[in-house]
Formats: sequence, C-alpha cells, structure tokens
Amino acid sequence: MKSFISTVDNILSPIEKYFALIAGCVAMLMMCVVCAEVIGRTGFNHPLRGNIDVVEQFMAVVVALGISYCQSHFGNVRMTLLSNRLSGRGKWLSEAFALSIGCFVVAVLTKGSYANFLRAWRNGGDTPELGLPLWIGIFIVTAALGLLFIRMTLQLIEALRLMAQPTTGSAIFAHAFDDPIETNPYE
Amino acid sequence: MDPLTLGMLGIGVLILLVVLGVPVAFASAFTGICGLIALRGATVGIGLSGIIPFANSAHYSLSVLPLFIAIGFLARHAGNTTSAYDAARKWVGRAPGGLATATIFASAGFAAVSGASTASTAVFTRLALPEMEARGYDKTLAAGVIAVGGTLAALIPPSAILVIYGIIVEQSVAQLLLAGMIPGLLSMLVYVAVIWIVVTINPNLAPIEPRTSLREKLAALPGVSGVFAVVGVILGGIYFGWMTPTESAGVATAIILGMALFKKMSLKNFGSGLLDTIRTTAMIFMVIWGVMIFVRFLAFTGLPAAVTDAVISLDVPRWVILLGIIVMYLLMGMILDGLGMMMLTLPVVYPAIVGLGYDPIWFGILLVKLIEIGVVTPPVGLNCYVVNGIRPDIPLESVFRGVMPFLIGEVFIISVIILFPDLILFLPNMMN
Repeated sequence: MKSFISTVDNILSPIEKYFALIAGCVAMLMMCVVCAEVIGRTGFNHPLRGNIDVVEQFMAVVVALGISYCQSHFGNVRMTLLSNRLSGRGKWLSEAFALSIGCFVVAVLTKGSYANFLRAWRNGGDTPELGLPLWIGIFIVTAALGLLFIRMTLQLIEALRLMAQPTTGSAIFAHAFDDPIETNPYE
Repeated sequence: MDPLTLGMLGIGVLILLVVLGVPVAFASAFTGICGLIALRGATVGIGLSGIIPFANSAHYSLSVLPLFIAIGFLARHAGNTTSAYDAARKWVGRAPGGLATATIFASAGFAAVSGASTASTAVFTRLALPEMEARGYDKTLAAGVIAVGGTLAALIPPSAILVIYGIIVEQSVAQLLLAGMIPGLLSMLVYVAVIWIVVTINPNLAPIEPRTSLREKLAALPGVSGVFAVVGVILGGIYFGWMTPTESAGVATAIILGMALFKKMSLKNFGSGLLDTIRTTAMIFMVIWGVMIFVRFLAFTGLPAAVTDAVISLDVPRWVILLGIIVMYLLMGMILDGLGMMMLTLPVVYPAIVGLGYDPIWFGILLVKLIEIGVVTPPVGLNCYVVNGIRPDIPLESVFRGVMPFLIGEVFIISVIILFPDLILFLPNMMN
C-alpha cells in the first residue's frame, strides 16, 4: 500500500508543480496586461480594450492551478493548538478526520462547479467587453478542483494507513515540513 | 429547526471543527454547504456552493492579491531588505538603541514592499539579530524588536489582509490601503519611542553605535529607491486616482521584478518566488471561498441581522460594545491565526459594527491592528514563533518578554485609533 501511495504521489507532484508554475507565469502575464493598460492610457491616451475581461479570466487560472500544489504542502490555514499535542494514532486520526471533511467539501465543490460549467457551455455566457467565453475559466476551476480531490483522497488514504502503522514514516506528510514561515504573507 | 437556531448551530459546529484542527477553508465551507443543503435542499445547496470558486476568483478587485504577494517575494531578491537595513542603521544608528531603532525603520521599509508580517520577521531575524548580538545588544530586546517590527507589514501598504477585509465586507480596497498608512507610521514611531524609553532606563541593553559620516549616509540612500518607488506608485497612484489598486500593484510588481533582474536574480529563485506566490494565493482564496459559502448560509438564516438588532438594542453606550469586541479579538488572537479569526468573525461582527454607526474603513484598520497584536502575544504569537523557529537558542519566553514593553505602546496606538478616527479617515476621505 505504501509503495502504491508513493507511486501516485510521484505522478501527482510534478503535475501540481507545473500547474503552479503555469499559474505563476499567468500572474506575470497579468502584471504585463495591467502595465500595458496604464502605459497605454496615461502615455498614449489609448486604453487597452477589454483588459478587465482578460485580468478576470487570468485570475481564475492563477487561483485554480495553485490549489492542489498548496494542499500538497499542507499550506491551508488551520489551528494546530490541539492537534500538535497529539502523537501516534491519535495524531493520524485527527489528520484523517480533517482530511475527510476536506474531501467532502472538495467533492461537493467539484460537482457544483461542473454543473456551473455545463450551464455556461450550453447557455454560452461571456465577458462583457471582449465576449470571451466563460466556460473556459469555469472548466479550469472544475478540473483543478478534481485534481485537488485526488490529492486530498491520497492524503486521506495515507493518514488512514498511518493510523494502522504509525511508525512506518510517510513521504506525503513530509511535504508539510517545508519552511512555511516565510511563505505566509497574509497577516 | 428554525433558520436562526440552525445559524447558531452552524457557528458552533464551525468553531468545533476549527478547534479540532480542520483547516479554516474546509471547516467554513463544510458548515456552509451542510447548512445550505438543510435550508434549501441538496440541488440548490450544491449548486450555490459550486458557483463560488469561479465567481470569487475571476473578479477584477481580487486580482490585486497575487500581485501584492508577488511584490513581497520578489523584493527579497531585489536586495531591498539589506539596503533598507543598511540605510536605517547609518541614519539612526547613533540614537539610543540605534540598531533596534534601525530595525524598526527597516521593517517599515520592508513593509512598504511586502504585506507579510511573518515574512518581515523571518527576514530581520536573519539580518538584524546577528548584527545586534555582535554589538552587544540584549537578546531579549533584540528578539522583541524584530517580532513587533514585523507587524508593521500588515498596516503599511501593500497589505494583503486589508485587501481581504475589503473584499469580504465589500469596502473600497483603495480607501483601506490609504487608511493603513498613518496608523502604520504611528505604530513605527511608538515602537521607536518604546525602544528609547527602555534603553534610557537601562543603557546596558543597547550600546551606542559608532558615528557615520554624512557622505556614508547619503551613499546609502540610492539602495532604498525601490522602497520609495513602490510606496510612490501604490500610494500616489491610488491617492490621485491615476490607478486602480490592481494597476498600482501591477506597476509596483514590474518595478521590483526589474530591480530583482538587475540584481541578477537566478531563474531558480524566480521560479521558487512564483511557486511561493501561487501557494500563498491559493491558500488565501480557498479561505475566501469557504467563508463566502458560510456567509451565504448565514444570510439565509437571518442570523447576522438578528445579532445586529440585538446589539443595537442593548441599553449600553456603543463604546462599551466596541470595548467588548476589542477584548474578544485580543483573547481570540492569543489562540487563533489572524486570517482565520477575521474570516470567522466578520460575517456576524461586521453588520453589528456598521449598525452601531462605526465607519467600516476605520474598523478595518482597528481590526488589523488587533490581529497584529495577536501575532506577538502568547501562547500563539506567530511572529514570536518565527524568531524562535529561526533562532532556537533564544527561548520563546524570552521573545515574548522582549515584546512586553511594546504591548504598552500598542495600548496607546489602539487608544489613538479609537479616540481620533479622523486621523485614519482623512487620507481616504481626501482621495481624489
């Protein structure tokens, strides 16, 4: 079971990393669009038509493509005052509980987002200025949620395995021990 | 079950899940989804929740967040931190507690290119703490100065948490960013005053620095041009109405990226900066999604309106209620993460605050200040953990002890924010 989990992890990790890098590049592209708009408007009295539409659609990519990478590093904000005091099976039970709640949430969001995608696909919603189809962004969000679901299911299976064999070590949970301190700029 | 009871049950379940260690994003989304399903049925509940991730990502006003976060990560490679510390040391090093004062000024400079208090603390623990130790500074004072200096990042623009507040309560992000400037500078001056008082009482804590010539002082200034450029673009652009917050963030990111490339930032560092930016962006947006689902559920229950009515009808002056809310946040800040605390309480607290007649922009600044006090108070003071995490030889208790004198300063700052709201509001009100 351990080797199966680490094989799936080895397949998922590079995909997540490349998705995150693509998201980072799109963020830089968004910066270029915004700068072009400012330069065009102030320097040449020529605003960039539809820049808001483009930025909005870019945002869906920037956010969605990073969610699985973030979860693979256990980057989501949580209160660890209680769970940090646990060890052995208790710790893994607490992790499995938190992950099962997460799995349920992501499954619901994926299903709901897929329904949203189907509506946009069939009804043909688009952006106000350039008429960019909305279904592309919604599809990317849905697919990213699907990837996140696979990642969280894998983490849940690993937590359950560790409940049964608490001393065998885990490559997946070792991702969490990257330096989170300097990558926490929200406060 | 009537909707109000369901709303209260939802809040109880949410708190329980957060305490049990479920990430805030999933705990709030789970409670919201279950509540929506209970109130409106599975199809509507799942459908409403499924709209949130796209709707709350593909939004122009939200695009300021990844750009602000990118500025912070790129600034490290642009050499802004080292230059800011060097310049501050040369200009104020001769003052009592000179290096400590320089650390506060440099933290304020770093705050102007980063919205991250933990990042600022981590940077200065590595940069300023060894310098202060080498000059014979008391470790407790040095650690306290660094932890508290980090909090400036949340108020001085660009501040990610002020943007998140603006998005959640639907207030102008531009006005919030401008409003944070004066309390940020006030905090900086109060911290400097605290250092001077502490060092005057006990001069052994901080030896005097050697003199620096005017030539050396002037030579240090070009190094901080990046900081001034970012401050100028963000505050000037927003204040004069030349740019939206997203545009000012985009231009500031381009400036810092240009500086980092000029300093020959490697492709590897650029890639890791992008990954860190995306990881933090995703984390923030997942909390936003979760809280937005929870807010929808609460709106259906009518609980926020009921709480607002109950609070307004209380037969006590409004400042007593405000004091109660401040104490609640200070207590929560001791055990809860700042972002989580803000997101979990705002859906109920914010309507009550507005109902009492307080200004939403002013309350945003007060709230962020309270959150920042939370990151330096025990037992869960994140900034103090950062100092201790990087320098395990300085015990956590020493870091907290070093912060203590500054908490008296924080009481003064909070009092000024409450007694003189115009001090916070005059800049946003003058906005073009």
